[in-house]
Amino acid sequence: MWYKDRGWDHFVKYIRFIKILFGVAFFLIFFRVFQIQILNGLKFSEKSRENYLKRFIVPPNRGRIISSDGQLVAATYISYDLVSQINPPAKLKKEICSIAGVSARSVDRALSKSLKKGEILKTLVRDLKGRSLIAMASVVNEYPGLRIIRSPKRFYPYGKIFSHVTGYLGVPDAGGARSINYSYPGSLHGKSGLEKNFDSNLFGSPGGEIVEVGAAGDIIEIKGSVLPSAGDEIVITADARLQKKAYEVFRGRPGAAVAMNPKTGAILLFVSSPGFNPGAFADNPAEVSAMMTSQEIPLVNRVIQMKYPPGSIFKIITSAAALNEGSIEPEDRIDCPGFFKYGKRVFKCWKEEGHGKCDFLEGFAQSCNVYFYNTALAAGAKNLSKYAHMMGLDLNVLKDISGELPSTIPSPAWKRKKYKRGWLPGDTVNMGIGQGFLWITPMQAALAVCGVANGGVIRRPYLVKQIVTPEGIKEYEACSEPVRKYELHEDVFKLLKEALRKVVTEGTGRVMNIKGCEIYGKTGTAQNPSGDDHAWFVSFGGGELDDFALTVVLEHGGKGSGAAGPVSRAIWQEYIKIKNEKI
Amino acid sequence: MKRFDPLILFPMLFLLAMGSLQNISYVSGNMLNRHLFAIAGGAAGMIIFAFTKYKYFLRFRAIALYVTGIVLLALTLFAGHSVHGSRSWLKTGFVVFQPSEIAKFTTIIFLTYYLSKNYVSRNSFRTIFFLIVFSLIPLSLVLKQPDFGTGLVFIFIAFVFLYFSQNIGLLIFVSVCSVTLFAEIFFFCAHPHALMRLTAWGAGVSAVIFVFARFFMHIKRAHIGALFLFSLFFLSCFVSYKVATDFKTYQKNRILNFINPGRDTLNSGYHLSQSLIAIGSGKFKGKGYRRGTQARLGFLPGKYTDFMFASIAEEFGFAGSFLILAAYFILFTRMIKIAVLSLDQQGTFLVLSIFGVLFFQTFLNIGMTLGMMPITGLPLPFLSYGGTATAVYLMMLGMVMNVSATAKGC
Repeated sequence: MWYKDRGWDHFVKYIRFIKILFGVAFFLIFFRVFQIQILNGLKFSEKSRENYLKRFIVPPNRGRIISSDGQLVAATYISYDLVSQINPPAKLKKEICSIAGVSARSVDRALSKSLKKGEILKTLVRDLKGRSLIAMASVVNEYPGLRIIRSPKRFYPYGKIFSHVTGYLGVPDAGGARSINYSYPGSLHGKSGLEKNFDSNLFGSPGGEIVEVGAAGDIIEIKGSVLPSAGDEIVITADARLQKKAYEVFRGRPGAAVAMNPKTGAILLFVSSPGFNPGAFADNPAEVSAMMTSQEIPLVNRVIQMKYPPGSIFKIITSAAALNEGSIEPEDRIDCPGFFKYGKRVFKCWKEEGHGKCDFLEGFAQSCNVYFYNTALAAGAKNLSKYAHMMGLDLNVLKDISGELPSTIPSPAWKRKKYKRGWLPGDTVNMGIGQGFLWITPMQAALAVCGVANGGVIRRPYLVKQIVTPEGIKEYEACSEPVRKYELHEDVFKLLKEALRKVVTEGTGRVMNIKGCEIYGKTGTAQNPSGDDHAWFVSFGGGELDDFALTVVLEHGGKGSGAAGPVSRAIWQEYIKIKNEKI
Repeated sequence: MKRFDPLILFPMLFLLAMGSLQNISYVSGNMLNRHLFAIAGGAAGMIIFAFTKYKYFLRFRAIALYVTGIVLLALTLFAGHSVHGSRSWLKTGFVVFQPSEIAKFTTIIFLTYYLSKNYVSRNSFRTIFFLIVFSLIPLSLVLKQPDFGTGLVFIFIAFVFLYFSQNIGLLIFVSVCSVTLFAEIFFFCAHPHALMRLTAWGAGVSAVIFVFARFFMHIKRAHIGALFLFSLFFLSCFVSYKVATDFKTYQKNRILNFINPGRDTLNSGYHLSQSLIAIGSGKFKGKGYRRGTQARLGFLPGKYTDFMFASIAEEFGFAGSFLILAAYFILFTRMIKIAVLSLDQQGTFLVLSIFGVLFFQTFLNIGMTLGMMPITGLPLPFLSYGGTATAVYLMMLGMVMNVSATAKGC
């Protein structure tokens, strides 16, 4: 053995060390290969499939929303985009720019945006039109990497007018996308209004192509394709003419108007003013940020998301409570000197010189505060609270549009819990005329009015009349459903109606006295801490017009009769006109 | 057939066949012709080496071989043909070759010659010094190209011969020093501005050692030792700081990715994650020859060079990679066996250092595709595309077979 001769006695140990190193290294590699290929093989094959098989999605046409008179409220039109599977060479880019009439910079910007998103088909030019579309078609024929694809765009013909009914579309946030199981990267979904609540109906199902792509994102082979199918069509109960008229008479002033058929609950009018431009969310970020920061908060749905003190319209409830509990006699006269003294506090009537001696009908028609201070004290806070709940001011029953706010209806127990202070008689006095702690949304006011109009039955308000599939099959048909029933003595209803009618014929709501029409109403002027009074006008029809109940509120509009009255009158006139046309 | 050791020949042929199968499907034209010609040339060289007594090369001819290797390496610095930023190739007409691969072989032969000639004085400062100098020359030339991966191979060769010289103390010292140096380079890649911080730590630790040695172990001149320790540490810090700041961004990223593979999959960690996907998605059976989506559709970078193992594992699955690993295993265990049975010291040194180089490259390359090693551009012996490398490795095996044929009992 040479190593013995040359004095390397530990040769065997040296070799053993090498063998151990070699063995350990080989074992590690072998184990790692086994781990990756056998133990984690499925996971890595999935990743490999994700790498080379891409789904290219063909977006579906979103379903239309149609008003009850057949007008398009939300529609989908097809725009044509030029897309590329490859990064186009400079010469081709130049040609595209000259044909489409866009700057090279905008093409580059669109391209880099697409690349960042990792899209297979990189968008070069959006929304090709007319001549350039035809010219581009011939270019596409020459270059196999280019394609023109249909890209549906949402379009709202009525814009701001129906904005709070339709809502708007946007990319769902991270949590939202997970809950929408039919979403795909880049898909747009409803963010508010009907677009949100009926997203699954409107969306349709996307088509797509499964394509094999290379590392550079170039399409190598199309493995299969599915055609998209359009979403369902929604017919709503609101009338476009009425809605348009109502939105116009607001003249941009902040406020809300909602009209319902008390007998069914169908919402005939749903206006929140000012509206917003729902189309802006797709392509006009500057306008969106302006809407977000606007002082007029156009994105807030004032019908259901804004609470106001009801003011004098609450006197309907106060009267109902006092009459039904027998706290007052309608014939009793109460003297109004223009103020009401309770203890040390002085509560004013809105008419400084006073109304003189009023019985119930007169006090109600003139909306005499002093009469109702006494009435409220006679009925008591507990009864006021009970009747407010009973008559529907606590309802949050609108299903078709979400985001309703609950109302605030005070009671002695409520005040003790919330403010840790006892209920004072002054609170009752304030509550009697709809001030103080009372806060309700216009929708809740409208429901209460419907209840009175309908003899104590409140039906669920609905906007969606029917949903029709693209094949023309009725998938859903709204049905009227009562959500609250209460009973008052028969003569109480009669008396209330008489009083409400008197408001219109000779009281504060004379502006609504339309010849030949049986209209009941009540004005309201709600004082509030943040500025001018809110103007309310609630009304409903009788006789032939018993299918219309209207609630109007004008934020900081001033007097109910002076501000909300004319708006209501214009809406009523439009409604009567439409009704006559139908006949 | 006595000249051709079957346990070397057949695994080698299997690996060559697999490699050629893949290369034929990936490259074509002149590129493919060069590779196939190189294999033919390498086979001829292998036959020559197998039939020539290895002692023939271990005389003054070894010096000539070494000098040739050095000259060729030096030439690349002036007339080198640059690919991917390193001037590692020389081009003469049709022939394009890589002197660093040739230098691996010539350096091994020369160091074997040198060490066995001076074996008696193997512990002398002079021998060790020259051993280190002779391996540093090609190393510095290779690093100058720059080719970090091949540089590692030359460092490894130096280690192998230090191991042969049986200076275990020195080897441990050098190893500790180089491990410290590498650790510091890693550290400076991650924290480029931490020179002062690390120095302060070194000073603190030295101070603690000084206090311990002076007052607890009562060593009188502990301050000198502590100062020496600190200055050594500071020097290494400074050198590694310089090296780390000189690194190109991609080199830094590779090192950082090795430390933390999940760092950044889309840019610098892309290679590794695609390689793992390729290997893993092969599962047991593989996707089939020419059906590997990762490699064929361009997701796997370096599919026929650095990541050849991944592309084979993808198409032939665990069955294929098992056969590849088995072939390497047979080849390497046989080489160890030959080294043990060799008739003389030169034979042992030659075979063991050839084994070392081939195994080092195999381990680093496969380990890299599996995410166990940092990404270095080293070819996988017999499989990767690369004419010079394959030809040189064939000749190395020719020499191993010659040792085997002359050894007893083989």
